[in-house]
Amino acid sequence: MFEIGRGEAGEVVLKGRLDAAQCDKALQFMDAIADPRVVDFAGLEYISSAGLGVLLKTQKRVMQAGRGLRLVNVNKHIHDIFRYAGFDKIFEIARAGD
Amino acid sequence: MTGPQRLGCQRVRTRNSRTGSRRRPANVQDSANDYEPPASSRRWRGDAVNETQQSMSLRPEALLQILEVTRKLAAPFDLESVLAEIGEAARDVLHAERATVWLYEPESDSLVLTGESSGTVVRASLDRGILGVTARTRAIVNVPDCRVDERFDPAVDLDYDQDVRCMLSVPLVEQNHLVGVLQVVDSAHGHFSAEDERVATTLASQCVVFIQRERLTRTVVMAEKLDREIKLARDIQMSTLPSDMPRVQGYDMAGQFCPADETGGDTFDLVPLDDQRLFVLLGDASGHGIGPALSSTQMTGMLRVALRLGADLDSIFAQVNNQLVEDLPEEHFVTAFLGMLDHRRHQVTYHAAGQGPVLHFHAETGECEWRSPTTFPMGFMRYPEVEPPGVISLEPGDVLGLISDGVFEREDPAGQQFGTEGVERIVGLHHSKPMSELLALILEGLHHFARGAQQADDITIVLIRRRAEAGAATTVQRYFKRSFTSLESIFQYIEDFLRAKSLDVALREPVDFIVEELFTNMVKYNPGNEHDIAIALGCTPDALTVRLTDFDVDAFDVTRAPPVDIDKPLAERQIGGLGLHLVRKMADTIQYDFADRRSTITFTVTLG
Repeated sequence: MFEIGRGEAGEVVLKGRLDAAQCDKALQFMDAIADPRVVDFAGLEYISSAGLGVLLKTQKRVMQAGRGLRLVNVNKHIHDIFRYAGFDKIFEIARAGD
Repeated sequence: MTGPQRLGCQRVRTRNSRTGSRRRPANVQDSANDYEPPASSRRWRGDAVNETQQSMSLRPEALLQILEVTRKLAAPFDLESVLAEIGEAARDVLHAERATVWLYEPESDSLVLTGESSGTVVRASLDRGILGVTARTRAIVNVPDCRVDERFDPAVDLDYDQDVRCMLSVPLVEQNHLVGVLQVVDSAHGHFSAEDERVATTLASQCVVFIQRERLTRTVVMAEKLDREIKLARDIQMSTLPSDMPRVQGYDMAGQFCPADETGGDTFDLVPLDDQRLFVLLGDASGHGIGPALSSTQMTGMLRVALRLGADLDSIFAQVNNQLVEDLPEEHFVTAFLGMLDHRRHQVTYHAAGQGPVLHFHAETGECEWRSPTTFPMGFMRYPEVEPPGVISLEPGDVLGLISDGVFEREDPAGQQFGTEGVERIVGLHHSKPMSELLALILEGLHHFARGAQQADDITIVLIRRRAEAGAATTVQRYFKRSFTSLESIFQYIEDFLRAKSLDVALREPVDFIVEELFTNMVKYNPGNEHDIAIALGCTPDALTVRLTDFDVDAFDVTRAPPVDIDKPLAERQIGGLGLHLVRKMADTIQYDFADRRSTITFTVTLG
C-alpha cells in the first residue's frame, strides 16, 4: 500500500511502501508539483531503488531552479539506504526525531 | 476384419487332388485394363446394387424367389448360413447345378472359399480364371461354353470333374469395392440367358447387403469382446497395484497410476518387509496396451515372490532382469526403479534401470536434485555384473519422487513438454503438504499444462516424504509471475516466513529491498520470458538465505556489475546500477550461479 499527497504546509507526504510497482504513481505526482520543497517520510515504511530514482529525478529538476528537496522524518532503515546510496551528499536529510 | 471368411458354398465338389484336365494357357495374362470379353459373353459394368431397372423386368417366379431369399436373409444369420442361403437361392432361381459364393479378402488380395463342412480354405488369386476376370473387371461374365473359353481355369473355376459346361460369374460389389464373386454353373437350359444375368445381378445386390450386414455385426461383436477382455486385463493389472499406502512411521507416501490406454505398461509397488524396510518399485514396460501391461504385471509378481523368499536387493534385481531377458519378446524392455527404504536409517538403496530422472527434493535448501539411472533397462540383456546401487539419504522434509516419463514428456498443444521444471515448480511450492495432495496437484498441473491434449503415455507417480521434525529448519519456495505487480505478494511471503520462523520482522526491510531489486531486474531484462521466477527462503540459526531462480535466460552476473561512485555530484548521478550497489551493501554474502540457462542468485543476511 502506498499513498502520496500534500500536507497542510504544502509538503509532500509519503505513506506505506514505495516499491517498483508504485514509482510511476509517485513520479507523476511529483512532476505535477511545480516547486516541491519538503518530502515527509514519517509514514513511509519502505523505499526501493525505484523509489530512490523518483527522488533523484525530482531533485535534478528542482535543483535546476536553484533549490533542493528536504527529506524529513526519515526512519533509520531508509536513512541507511540513503547513506549507502550517497543521497546524504545530494539531499538535505532530517532523520525522524531530529 | 482379418483372416479368411468362413464360407458356405453350395455343392462344391472337392477332392484331394485339384488337377484339372484343361489348364489355362500360361501365356494368357488378363488385366482389368486390357481385358475384352469374347462375343459370347455379356457384361456390364456397375454397382450391382443399382440394378433396380433390370430387376423390374424379371420373370415373376424369379422375383418371388429373390424376395423369399431376402426375407430369409433378414433373419440374423451367421456368415456361413448367409452364404449358403445365397448359393442355394441362386441355384434354384437360375436352375443351375451349383452356385458358389467367393469372398474377397483385401489383406491377401485374393478370393476365398471355405468348404461348407470340411472347413478347407481355398484361395484364388485375381489373375486366374473366369473368377479372376469377374473380380478384376467388376463385370458379369456369361460363358456359354467353358471348354472353348481360354479364360477358363479349371482350378479356380472349380471344374474338378472336367464337366463344367456353362457359367455365369457375377461380381459382388458395394460402392465400387469388391465384396466377392457369385459363380453359377451349368444351367438346366444349357446356357444362361440375358434374363438369367438380370436375375443373378439382382440376387447379387441382395447378397452384398446381407454379407456386409453380417460383417458389420461381427465387427461390433468382436469389438465388444475385445473391450471385455481389455477391461479384464486392466482389472488384473490394477489388482496388482497397492490399494492402500503402507503406514511407515515418520513417512508419508502416495502412489498413483494413470494409464494412457485401458491398460498400460506402468506399475508401482510399495511392500513393507519388516519393521525397518520398505520395498519401493516403479516400472515402465516399453509401449502401452495389453502386452506391456502383462510384462509389468509379470515383473511385479516375480519381485513379490523374490521378496517373500527374503532375497536381497542386488540378487532380486539381477535375477528378475535375467528372467525378463528370457521372457520378454525381443525389443521389449522394462525401465524400473527398485529401491529399499530403510526407514530407521532414512536411507534409500536403489537400482534405477533406465528409470530416471529420480527426484530427491532437499527440504533444507528447497532444491530439486535429479538422479540419473544407475544402469540400463531390465529385460534388455543379462547384466555382466550388477552396478553398485545408488544411495539417497532422506533428511527431514525431503521427498523422494519416482515419476514415469509420461509426466515429463506430457505435451501441451504446441508440443512443449512438462519436463522436470514443471514438476519442480509444483514440488517446490507444495512439498510440505500431504503426499496425496502433492500428487493430486502434480496431476492437476499436468492437466492444466496439456490444455486438453491427449495423454500419449502412461503416467505413474510415487512420492515418499520423510516427515519434517517439529521445529526443524525448512526452506520454502514459491513461484511468482514475472511482473512488478507480484511485489506485494512477494513481500507478504517474506513477512509470513519471518513470522513463521519467529525471526526479527525488522529484517523485512533489507530483505525486501534486495529481493525487489533482484526480482525487478529479472522482470526488466527478460520481458518476453514466460517462466515464473522462483524465490526460496530458508534459515539456519545464523543466517537467513534467499535464492532467486530465473529460467531460460542469458547469464548476467549481478556480483560483477560495475561499482557506483556515490560521491559524484547530483548532475552526474544515474539511478542505473545504484540498486545492485545497494544490494551488495546490504547482503552479507551474495553468490551468482548459471547453468542450463538458469540464473540463480543466492544471498544471506546474518541474524542477530
